[in-house]
Amino acid sequence: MNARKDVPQGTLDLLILRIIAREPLHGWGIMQRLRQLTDEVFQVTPGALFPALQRLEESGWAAGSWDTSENNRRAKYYAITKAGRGQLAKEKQHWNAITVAVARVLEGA
Amino acid sequence: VSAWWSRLKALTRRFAAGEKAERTLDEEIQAYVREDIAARIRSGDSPEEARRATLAELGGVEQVKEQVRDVRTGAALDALLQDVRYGLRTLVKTPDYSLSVVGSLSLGIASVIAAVAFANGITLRPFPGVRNQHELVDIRIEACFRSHSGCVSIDTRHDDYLALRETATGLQGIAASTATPVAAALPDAQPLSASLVTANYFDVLGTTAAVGRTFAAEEASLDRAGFAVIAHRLWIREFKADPAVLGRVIRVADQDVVIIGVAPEGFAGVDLRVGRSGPDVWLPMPLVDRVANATSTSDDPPSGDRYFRYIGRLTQGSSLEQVRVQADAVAQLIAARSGSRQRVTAVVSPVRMHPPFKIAPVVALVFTVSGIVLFIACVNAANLLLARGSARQHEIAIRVAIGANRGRIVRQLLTESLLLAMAAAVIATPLAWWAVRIASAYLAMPMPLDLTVLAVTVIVAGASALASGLSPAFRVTPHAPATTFSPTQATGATRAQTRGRRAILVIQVALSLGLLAGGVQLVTALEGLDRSSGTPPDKLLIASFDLKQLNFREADAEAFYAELLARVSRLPGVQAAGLAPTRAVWTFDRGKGRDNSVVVWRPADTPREGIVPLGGYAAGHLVEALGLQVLEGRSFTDDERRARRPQVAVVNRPFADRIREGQALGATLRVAARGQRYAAATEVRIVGVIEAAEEPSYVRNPPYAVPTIYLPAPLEPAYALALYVRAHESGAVAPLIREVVRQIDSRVPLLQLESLAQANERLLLAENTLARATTVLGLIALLLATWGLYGVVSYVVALRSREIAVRLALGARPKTMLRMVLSEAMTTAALGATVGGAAAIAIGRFIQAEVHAPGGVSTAAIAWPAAVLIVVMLAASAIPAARAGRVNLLQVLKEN
Repeated sequence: MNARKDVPQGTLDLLILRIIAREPLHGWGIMQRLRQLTDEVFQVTPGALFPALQRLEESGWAAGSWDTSENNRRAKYYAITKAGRGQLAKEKQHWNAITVAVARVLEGA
Repeated sequence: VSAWWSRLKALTRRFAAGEKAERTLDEEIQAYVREDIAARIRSGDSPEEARRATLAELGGVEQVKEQVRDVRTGAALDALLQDVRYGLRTLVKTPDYSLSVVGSLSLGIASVIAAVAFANGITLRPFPGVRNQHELVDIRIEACFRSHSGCVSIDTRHDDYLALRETATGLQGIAASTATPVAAALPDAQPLSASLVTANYFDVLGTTAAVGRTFAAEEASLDRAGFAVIAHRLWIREFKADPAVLGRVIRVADQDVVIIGVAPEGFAGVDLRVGRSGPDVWLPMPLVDRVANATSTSDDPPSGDRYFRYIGRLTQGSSLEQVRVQADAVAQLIAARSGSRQRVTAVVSPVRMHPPFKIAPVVALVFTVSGIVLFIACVNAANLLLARGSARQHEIAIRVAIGANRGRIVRQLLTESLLLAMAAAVIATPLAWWAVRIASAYLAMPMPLDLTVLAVTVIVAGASALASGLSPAFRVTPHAPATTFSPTQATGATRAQTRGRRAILVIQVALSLGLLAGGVQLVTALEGLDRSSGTPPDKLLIASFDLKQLNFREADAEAFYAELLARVSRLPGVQAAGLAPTRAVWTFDRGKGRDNSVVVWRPADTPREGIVPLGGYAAGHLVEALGLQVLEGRSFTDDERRARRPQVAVVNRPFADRIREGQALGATLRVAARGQRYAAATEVRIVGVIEAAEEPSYVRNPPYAVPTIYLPAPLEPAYALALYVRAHESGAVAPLIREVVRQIDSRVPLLQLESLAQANERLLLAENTLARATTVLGLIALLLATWGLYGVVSYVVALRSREIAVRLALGARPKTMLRMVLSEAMTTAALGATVGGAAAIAIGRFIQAEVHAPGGVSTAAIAWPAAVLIVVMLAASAIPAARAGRVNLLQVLKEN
């Protein structure tokens, strides 16, 4: 098993947006998906997840609504908004630019 | 922009949702917990294991909620509101503690507000009724002495004013004024202070009349100058604020003038000074020679020279230096004309109420004193907060345990201090207003609580909240919850903390004792000033007259004074009455002028080097009225008094000491009126030496007496004389004298009618006010220090209550416990009183040096406040100590 790492500063919002862009999910679901997708490299605690969700909702990039889960429990589902999609595209571009730049430095060195 | 917009929406939504947002958050996290547990069970964990693992990963529901709250929009506002709500609830639950802190802080804050209002009133406030004061400049023509570094303003002429107007192109306008007391009939005869001003005076100051108008340019010529603008104060007092006052004719200095306007309320030109209420009436400059008597300050003024004050208004873009250079051209003309060897220069400065160098020490003193009071109050509050914080350690520990971090707790405690300080400021403001109103009435200075003062109030309140709250807030919040429940806490503070607290207490006691003793010393010194030899100040009445203004002829003046003296001497209750030139006995710090001094050549003096003693003509029984003892020889005989020319003289001790041979009695002197030469002098023989009447003054130290000479007949016609009356009851005689004057000649006003005690009080007004204010502040400081002592002792006893209870239960006697607590308190008190006594001497010395109070440090002034302090301290420690003796073990153990 890989050693767990903290999510790089500022990228958690991007990752969450990417995850809920596919389908609306509740908090626990988002966390599971995060672990799954990153092969459990990133460690996200509820203490980081819920504030991030609060931020996204307040910024108008995600919209929360109460629904019933697959296990028949009530949960708050987060769906990406139109503004959220715009933000995701922007962030993705930004991230790509950075990783390309960083990679170039690392390989060139 | 859209992000901001959605945040704003989130904020409004959340405030609309209120508690619902909290519930939703809780539900969401609970849902997460259930989901996670279910998932873990599905993957094979037992329900118990699953639950434990989930909660461990979560790290606490409340903590997560707190983290979410922190990122919410308006989280800071939310937290603040919550802190305020919580703080208010806590403070209301312990009213005695809250009132203690608020009471203590409000006294401290009030004293600082009063000091700020005072400083603001005497330095920062603009002159009432004056527009754009920052453009106004003072232009003075000064002569500087080569021998010493001093410069004095010199007299100038109307021509110089015209010349200044020509050359000073850096000014939009320049106005001249000169002040003089005048006799007026409104129609009752009364003295007024008049200011003679150029026609453009009000225009240069940018002042418009409250009623009617100010002077017009054509009123600059003598034949059209019979107009007056009266002060708002006079309008209210004498004319009942009647708008029909315009056009009324009043008589001022034997001139009929028509009232054309009323100046705005509080307007005093730029002549406002502490203790002086400014002019009552403004008259056109052309009247100056008819109205003003000798206002000159120089020894021998050529005709037409007076002390004029010049005020100019700068044009846009011109500098003080430019104007100075322009005005200096006129100064050089004046220098050339007078042919004096002194350097004459023009000095241009912004108009100010008081010269900064004069007022700075007073302001510094006032701020120091009030600052000390605030400091003591803050220390008190800090001690109380600390005591309270210790009592709340359990509550704090619980909050930490359920997810509050240290910063949050500190913020909570600071919010509470801030609330207390704000409450204190609210109470302090009316307190300060009341104190300032009294001081303002005393000093005749407007000292409003304006925006500047209120802004400072808010800052001071905030600063005192921080000063008193910061250290306790950090001290009582633990780094980790565990320490709170550890047994070491039961003993209270560490040794270093106890020592620090004691040191602060000693400082408090020392400062308050010092202040009080300083104030008492000042008051005592003042009373000492009043106690000059001779007639007691409250039994000596002084009334002064100036008949020159009323154009009396010599014979009429002589007849008036003779009649006055005769009638007053016969009044019931009058023991003796005499006449002397105005301010020829006491100058009341106004110095020697043409009217109250003479030139004397002693036997050894050459015609070129006479001396100028105070004195001159003395009629009636002056020496007896003043109560001065005849040390050698005798007073005047009736024959000598009837002579047309003086042939004999009576001198005081300082004068006799200046006769070179040391043998004053029988010596022959030559005496002349000021401005006359040796050849015109009269020979007189000294027939008596009397003791000196000392000047009460803070300016010089110790009270001093100047050489004085009295003559039984005048050297030149005497118009301005003062009547000195010794009476059993000066208060009862004063109205009789007023009536006598009215009967002799109803046109003659009394320029002054007061006892020597009243005159001294007026002279030392600022010092008196300062002394009383210091005493009052000292008393407040003492009260606060006592309060603080009580608080600290109670606190220490409360902290040790468990120890005391255990010792009592183990068989210690209550008396022993009482003695233990009491002895500790008394050690602190004794130490405080000792250091305080030393501080009192130091502060007393400092205050005395500031105001030139005479005499050494009085032991009584330190002894009685110290005694009061020790008695109160004993009581303050005895009450909590007695309570400690009755401590019940069970109760204490339950509490802890």
